[in-house]
Amino acid sequence: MKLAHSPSTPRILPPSSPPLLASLLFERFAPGEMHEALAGDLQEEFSHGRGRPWYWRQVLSAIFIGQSTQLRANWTAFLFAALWSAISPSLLFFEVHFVENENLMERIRQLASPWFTVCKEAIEVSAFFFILWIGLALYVSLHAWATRRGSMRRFARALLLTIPLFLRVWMAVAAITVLLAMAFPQRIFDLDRPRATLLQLIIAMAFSPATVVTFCTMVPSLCSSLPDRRSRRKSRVG
Amino acid sequence: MAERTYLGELELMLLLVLINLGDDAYGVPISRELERHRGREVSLGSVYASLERMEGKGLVTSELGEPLQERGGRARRYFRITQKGLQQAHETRQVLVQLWSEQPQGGAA
Repeated sequence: MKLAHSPSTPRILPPSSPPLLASLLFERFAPGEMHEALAGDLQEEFSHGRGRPWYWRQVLSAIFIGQSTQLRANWTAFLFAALWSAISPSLLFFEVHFVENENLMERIRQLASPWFTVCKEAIEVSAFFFILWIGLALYVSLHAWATRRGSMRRFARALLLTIPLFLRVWMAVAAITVLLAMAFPQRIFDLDRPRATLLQLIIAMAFSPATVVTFCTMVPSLCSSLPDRRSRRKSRVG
Repeated sequence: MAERTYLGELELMLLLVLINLGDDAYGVPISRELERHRGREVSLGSVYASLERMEGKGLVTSELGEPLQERGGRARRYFRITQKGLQQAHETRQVLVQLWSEQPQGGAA
């Protein structure tokens, strides 16, 4: 017997929009030249009845594949960023000592309340930018020397890109650091350096807020300073 | 001696699917065809990564279509096999056929 669909019976329709969090993660972390077409395909398939688990699997797989492809394509940038970030805490240390020795800090301390904080933060931020830009210039010079190809326009764009990237990463790392400090006040920041083992020191250095900020800002900046993969391939073929 | 490269499993499948689909070869039908033949879910990300790599090698070309409402205003990217892609598919097939024909009877089971 065929049952007619009664108007009172609620019809179960597939959800019209894909999971928001998955879409946001995809937009933010899935790189690639065909990103837009892939996003459209996912949306089209979802609207044709694919479920939320399918959408999540596709998004996570696209992010993983995209990131690993980017890592393989720009491995020198990742390696340089890791090395530069590892030495950035010591560079920051020298910069702060330079400011102290020049009696600049003494003059800043004499400023009125809001200006004292503003100047102190400005010095810290400028120290970060100094390190980031020196690293970027060094990498671009080395890359141009090795490949005999370089673009001043790309370099200038990468320099400018560090500003919004740094601010976003800095705020995110600051928020996470505060939360971690509240959750584990003794375990993270009270490392007894003279008694710490080598492994503990390496872990403390690798995951210090300064290192994380430098690394997360440097990787996309360095990648953006390189020629497009498409044009790199063409030049290789030619 | 010129370097000669053969296609990987997914690359060969993709080229054959592009031939089968003709002018309607974009991400969704390509992945559905692959799913139908392989009998398991295919990651669209891996399909695009392979097609991107193959485009770099000159085996396929791609062009954007019109933006569509059902895709959130995004366009489809249509793929087409090139002459070089077709030639490589044939060469890979010849090598595979030859290798299979040289297998001992027991190994072909």
